[in-house]
Amino acid sequence: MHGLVESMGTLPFTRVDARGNACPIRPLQELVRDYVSHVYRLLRHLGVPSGDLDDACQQVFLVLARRHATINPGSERAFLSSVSARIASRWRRTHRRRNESGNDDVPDQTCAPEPSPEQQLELAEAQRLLLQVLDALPDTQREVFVLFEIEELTMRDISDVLAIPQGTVASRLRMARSQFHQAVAQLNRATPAGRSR
Amino acid sequence: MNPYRVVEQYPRSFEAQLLRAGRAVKAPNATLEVTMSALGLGATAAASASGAAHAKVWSWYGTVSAKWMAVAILAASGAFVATRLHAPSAASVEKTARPSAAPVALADGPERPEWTRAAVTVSKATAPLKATVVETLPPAAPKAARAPHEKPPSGLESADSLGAEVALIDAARRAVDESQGGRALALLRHYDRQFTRPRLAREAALLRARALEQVAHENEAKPASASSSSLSGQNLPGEPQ
Repeated sequence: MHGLVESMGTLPFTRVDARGNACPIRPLQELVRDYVSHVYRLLRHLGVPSGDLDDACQQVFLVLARRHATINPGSERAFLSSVSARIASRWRRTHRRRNESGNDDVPDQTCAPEPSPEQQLELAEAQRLLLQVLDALPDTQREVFVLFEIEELTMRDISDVLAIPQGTVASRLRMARSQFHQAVAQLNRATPAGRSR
Repeated sequence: MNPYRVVEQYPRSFEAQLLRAGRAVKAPNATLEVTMSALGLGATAAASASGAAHAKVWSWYGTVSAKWMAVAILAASGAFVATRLHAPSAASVEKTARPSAAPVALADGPERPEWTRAAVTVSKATAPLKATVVETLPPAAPKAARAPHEKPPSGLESADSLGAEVALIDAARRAVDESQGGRALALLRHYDRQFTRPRLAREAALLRARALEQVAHENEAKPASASSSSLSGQNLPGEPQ
């Protein structure tokens, strides 16, 4: 106990976690740097239009900034996933309304990493197709599918993030997979690029 | 018990290829910078985030600027040598120009200072040279006539665009005052697209921060608190800690 008090004295920004260990609170700047790609990717795959991704990202991190002091160390990623899922859901609804009124969104191609131009093009095309396939999934299945297959969260984590039972996560994932396979098969038949693979 | 993941189970399938492409998506630097500045972490964040890129740019800039400095020094020394070759004529022009009336008035006076004697002798000796120098000098009038063409003729245009900028910023401010954060953000996005070199960028940034705050207020609700309480102390896969 004495050691704990001492360690807290030497670390000004420390908190005690569930196990009673002192944990330093990570600076907000560090969290933004570490998780911006995770949040960006999640928002993008959960259907936030490319033109709104920056704003949505900022909103997620503003919520993080407000709750920074109350989030338990080690659960920042889950917290950000949860906020991102909620913001994306809200954005999808708004976007659907906007689409109904005739404003469509242009898919962005900004995420190509360093490799050769051909590889970049291929990757950008795959990313575009993935978004197309994900758009075909119902929102609830899409969330579970993206969190499990792309963000690689466990079933239990997804259940916590989305605040739904694990059984629901499993059933949604099963249905999402089935729909995903169907959509990809359809895409394979429809596009020459798909047929050549 | 977790079910399999498509990427690991069927790594060569088209589905896996698509999902791998999805996993490869990264946030652009601009997003990081904009997010940092929205949180008030701007300058230091941008510096540390794109430190490597900046270092590359600066090293390249250093090389290029060193080369150009060397070229400039060579050119300057060349010009200096050239002017030194024509030194007598330049000196005569300067020396005769300074005491404009004095040489004539003091030409034969006994109390004439030493420097005026020298000036008179130099001016006498270099009279034809002076004429040629004056002839070769560019006339003053064309310079004055050319000046207006060098200035940007877009005074009216810039005033117009400033007016448009002010109008958009005002509209965004009104939206923020009416707590319509979403509308303000849309207006500011339009502003960003419309003006590539905005003059009211600082006002726009401030309004954006206020608008985002309003929208964040709306978003700040239950699932966040639920997850923060239920996930206490858990480490998720792939976390950096």
